[in-house]
Amino acid sequence: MKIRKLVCAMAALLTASAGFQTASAEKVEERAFPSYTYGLWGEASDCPAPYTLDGRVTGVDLGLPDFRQINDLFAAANGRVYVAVSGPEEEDNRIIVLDEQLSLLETAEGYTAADGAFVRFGEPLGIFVDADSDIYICDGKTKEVLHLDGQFREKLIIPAPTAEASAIINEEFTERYRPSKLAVDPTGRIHVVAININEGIVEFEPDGTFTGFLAAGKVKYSTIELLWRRLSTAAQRERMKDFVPVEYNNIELDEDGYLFATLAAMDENAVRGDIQSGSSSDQGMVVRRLNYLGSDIMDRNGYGPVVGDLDVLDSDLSGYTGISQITDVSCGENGTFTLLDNNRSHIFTYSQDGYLLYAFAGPDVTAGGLRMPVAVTQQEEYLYVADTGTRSVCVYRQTAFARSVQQALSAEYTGDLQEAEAAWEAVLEQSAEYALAYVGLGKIAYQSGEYETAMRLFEESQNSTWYSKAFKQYRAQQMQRYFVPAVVLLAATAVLAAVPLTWRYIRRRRRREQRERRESL
Amino acid sequence: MKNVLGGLRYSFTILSHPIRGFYELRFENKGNLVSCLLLLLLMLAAAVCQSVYTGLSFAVVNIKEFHILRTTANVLIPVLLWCVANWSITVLMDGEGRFRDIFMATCYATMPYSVTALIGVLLSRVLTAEEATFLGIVTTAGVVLSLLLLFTGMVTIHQFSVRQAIFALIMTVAAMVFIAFLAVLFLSVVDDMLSYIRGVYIELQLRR
Repeated sequence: MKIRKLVCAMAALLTASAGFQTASAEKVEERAFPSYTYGLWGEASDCPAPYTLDGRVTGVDLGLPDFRQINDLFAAANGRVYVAVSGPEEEDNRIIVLDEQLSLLETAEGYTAADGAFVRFGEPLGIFVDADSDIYICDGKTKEVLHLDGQFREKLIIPAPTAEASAIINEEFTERYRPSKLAVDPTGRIHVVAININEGIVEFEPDGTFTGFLAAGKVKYSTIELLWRRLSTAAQRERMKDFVPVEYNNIELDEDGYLFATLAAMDENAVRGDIQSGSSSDQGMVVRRLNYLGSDIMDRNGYGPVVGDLDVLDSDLSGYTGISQITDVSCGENGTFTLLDNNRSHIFTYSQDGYLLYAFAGPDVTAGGLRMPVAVTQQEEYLYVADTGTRSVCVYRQTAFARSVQQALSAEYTGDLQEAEAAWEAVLEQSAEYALAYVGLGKIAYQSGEYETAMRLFEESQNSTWYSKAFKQYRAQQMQRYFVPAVVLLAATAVLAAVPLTWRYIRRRRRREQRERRESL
Repeated sequence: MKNVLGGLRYSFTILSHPIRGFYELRFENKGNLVSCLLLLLLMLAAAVCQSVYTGLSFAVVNIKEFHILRTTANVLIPVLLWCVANWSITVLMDGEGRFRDIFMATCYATMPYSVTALIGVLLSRVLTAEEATFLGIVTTAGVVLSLLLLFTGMVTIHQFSVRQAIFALIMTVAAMVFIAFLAVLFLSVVDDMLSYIRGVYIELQLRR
């Protein structure tokens, strides 16, 4: 009897624990990284997940040695994903080629030189693949930029620029120059971002001749800084290291042929100031879109500056402090671009005019997040991230929500108002709080002349800039409508007031005349 | 009632003839306390309208974070703090104003600010962001006028020279900071004390 009871109890316990297990398993299934966007007042509001983790591979998963250090990632137009990996051992330094689902296609530990010899990579830091599948690699150890064909055969090797070749650099430059990231524009010109170089982006002709620097950072002094510098002695000035011009840390070419560059040595206080004031200053720009002259041409019309996370001012319980540290930028369809933050491991996608479309991922690896992301790239609906914290490459896949947003942006881009309206409506069906959809619908109403509707929609999305624009048109409309009635009303009151007044005046004059006549008589 | 209206109208006398206005306020019992409280209420109303009814083109505060008590405190505490600090300083400096005079002068001085703030709220709903300068001019004029009135009031009520008044002004601001500091200190000590009492109570309950 006793034993039976015991068995019963044990069975009950077992089923209970089994039930508990399934419950916790479901919970794990539900775990997801946060996805959000920011409104006018810098407050985060949740949105549906724009991407879900589709796969994650480590070196061991691919049957290769562990990825010691993943440096760069490039998704080429032919669907291949190139990964640049380095490490202390000689064979750690290689290029790995994966297909779009992250299955291994090939690996290369070196290239075939022009004379047929095999040369190992020193330390591949950056990779770029052009439309003809030519591979460009930045080698941080040999200080060379390698231009290889699709089979890793040498086409051109560009060594570090030397003082003999150019008048604007000296030997000290060659000493500290370490090419790390690059982009090649359709004309074949090579733009290189180098470690320790704050003169700007290093530019090479297609034949490898060094031509100069692009977008050298301007050192700007505020009035107080100037005063302070004037008051300090020469020795003090010598020790002031605050005024270091920008050092770029990554570069990407967008579909219009402009360069996106992210900045490494950012003035944190400038960024915080920008977040607080909601504006963008030269010192606080963590990402720039550069034209051929090196001036920034990025549109920043969104809610808050383009600096990643905005709610960094309050200390939170997560233990993460400070501004987003942007390590990479990747350009997507419809002029959107994606920034990678390796402070909180967030990924931010902005529209062409600077609105944050959505931010996602985070440091929770079990929920599909990232630990120490270093590079991001995208190709159609896939977004690849190199996470050196987990020594893996992750692929994220666009969800229906992000697809609807992109469709709407694409329709806006081509000027198809009806399609854009339908697409934004579809976005709202998935997330009724998504402010950008109201902005989109408001713009459509504005363009079709329904200014009152536009005002209501811009009010809904708390977009003061567009609200003001719509209100200006609405006000003009109202003034036009009521101008004639107002004038008529004014004229009528004037006439109505004038008639008795004139009448009285005439009567008085007549009386006076009569009186005068009488007196003169 | 008539008295109150007269008191309100007196703020215009002060606006047009500040020195005579404040002098008569102090020495000839012009103006009254009820109208001063109404002016304070007007200032509060202006602050509330500014955060609630300002047009979206000019909105500077998040309407979702609006809280009437916080707004009230933001308006009333500085005014009262100013009066108390000013009184405690001028009493030592042989100023002739009584607390009642200081309070009334301060309230009358806020009138231009409140009125222009309300006009600004109206303007913000008919102007666009490009015409922000006009709005800026109106509200700045109000603030400047109010500060000038406050200064004139201090000079006249206490029968100070300008130099004395400037010194009193600086001392008053310092006293305000000092009082605020003491208040924060007091509150934190009381908070600690209460949590200590609460801790003892919980301890006793658990040990029983």
